[in-house]
Amino acid sequence: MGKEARNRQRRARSTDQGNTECRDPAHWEHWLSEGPLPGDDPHTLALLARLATEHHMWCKLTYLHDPVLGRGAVPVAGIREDGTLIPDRSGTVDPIPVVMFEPSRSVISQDSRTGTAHDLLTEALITAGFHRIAPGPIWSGRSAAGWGIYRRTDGLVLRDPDGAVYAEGRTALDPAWVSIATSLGSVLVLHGPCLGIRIPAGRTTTSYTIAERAEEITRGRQYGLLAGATVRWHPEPLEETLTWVLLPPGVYFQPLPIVYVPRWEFNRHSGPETFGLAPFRSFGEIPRAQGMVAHITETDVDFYRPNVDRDLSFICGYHALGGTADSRYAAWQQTALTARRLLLITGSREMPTGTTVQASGPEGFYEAAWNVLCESSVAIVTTTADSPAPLKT
Amino acid sequence: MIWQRDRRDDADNHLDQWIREALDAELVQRDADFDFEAGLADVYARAGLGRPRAADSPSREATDFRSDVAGSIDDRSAVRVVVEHIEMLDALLGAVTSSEEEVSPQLGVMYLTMVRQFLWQLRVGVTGRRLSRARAVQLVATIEHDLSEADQILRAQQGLSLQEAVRIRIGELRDVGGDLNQQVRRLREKVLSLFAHVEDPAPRSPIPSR
Repeated sequence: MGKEARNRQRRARSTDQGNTECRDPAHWEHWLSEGPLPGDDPHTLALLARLATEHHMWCKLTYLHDPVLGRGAVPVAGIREDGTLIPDRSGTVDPIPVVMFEPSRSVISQDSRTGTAHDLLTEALITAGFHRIAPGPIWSGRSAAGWGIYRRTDGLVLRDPDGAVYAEGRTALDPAWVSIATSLGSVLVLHGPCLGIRIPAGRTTTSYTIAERAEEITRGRQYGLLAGATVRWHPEPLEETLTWVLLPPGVYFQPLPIVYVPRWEFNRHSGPETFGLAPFRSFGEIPRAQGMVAHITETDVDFYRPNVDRDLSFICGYHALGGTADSRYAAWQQTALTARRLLLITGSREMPTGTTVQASGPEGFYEAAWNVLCESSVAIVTTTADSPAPLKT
Repeated sequence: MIWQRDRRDDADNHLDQWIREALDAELVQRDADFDFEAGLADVYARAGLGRPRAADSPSREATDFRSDVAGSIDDRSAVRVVVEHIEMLDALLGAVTSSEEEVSPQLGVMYLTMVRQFLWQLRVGVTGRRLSRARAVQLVATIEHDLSEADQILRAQQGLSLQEAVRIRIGELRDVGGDLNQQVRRLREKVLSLFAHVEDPAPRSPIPSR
């Protein structure tokens, strides 16, 4: 949620300040030099925004008694009056299921005045309700209310109370692990750049030992780079769509380019009704969106409230994964700016796309797309190439 | 005077409780007497700041609520009280995050900006009456959590508490901000009061509940 807003704002600012064409964040490896990046450079800001939206990351399922999390650890049954812990050595305590998310790339921000460092992705989770895992031998799994871990066909997704995705990873779901998670109803989620999942260059899975992985985790805790929380486990596969879809004019036999936005994007704004979206009835009854404009750039579609403080104005946004090299997005962008309007559709079901067409043919596609439309809310939104004007007071 | 530590009534907990109750009572009295608009304008005037546009129309959404949603006068009044409290907190935090002075490291600003976004979410939710009680409570808890994190970061990096950073920005009117933690506690009470006599609205459908 707010994390994305922040990122979009950074990206908007960076777009305002310079041409990023030669330093497309999508292809950062081609231009990024070694060493620290200046915090006020628009290219740096664009890169940070790009990396902060990468939710796909390494994912591993384990248990709290895993040696990498602390060899010989035992459950705690209570605390004595003098503050010492009461261990439970009965052996009857269920193992605690743990999900570890380790980003492929991390963005460490260092304050040049004090030398203190922070991982921006870790901080993003903490701002949204996760907790920093303090150094020491004790693992405490404080809860993050409203957060959830959801199953997908190929892995897991971590979502905040509004439904925003903070991490997703591919992993095989061990039936025993799933059974315990389902029985407990919750799992401990750890997120950070030092969880020992990635293998350092020149090492192998076997040569990077458990002791070294444990040391990496300990180091991460010491530097405050590890976030964690106990969150609710959702055992049923996630059916709600998480995917934006852009469709060209002509789809549904109407003239406007379309943006299909997952409905949860509006949860943090109290629903799409806040902006005047209404359940679809017919193309003759589509309302105009209220208090919302679509800012269209070379790589992004961002919805804003134009009349409020810039820190609060972002609603939700889409980033073309191919960056400026995405020709299909470029064509869509052109039509959206030429028409000066777009049709915003929001719903919870998966919008059929190319693979659906191949599977069912055009008629099947239109039928499926029509069914999605009939369960969605819609509005026409004004588009602009201009970044929302900063509100100076 | 000898402080009798062994007497139960003089124990630290009792003293803390007594002070807390006294401060809360004072806040209640000030809430009743305080002209928010005039006070906020005075804060900005003294700090030499323009007023952020988000706070330009202090009760615009409360007005919208009045016109759009049927409800008792008490309900509307309670919503307005919450909105005004949110605006007060937002104005204080906005003053810190927009500071041109070196009082706020970037990371601290990130947390405070998030608090402002959660405050906005809470405001939109309560005015539109589309926020569940559980989510409202979560939002206030997250606001509290982020303020605590921001305070720790400011202390570690600047040797300055969040409260001190706020005071630096708003100048002499220290009592308007009061203690931020207290203000958030008061906000929670006001938010909870909105749900005291009504059924929790149906949860918004998009969040899977399985």
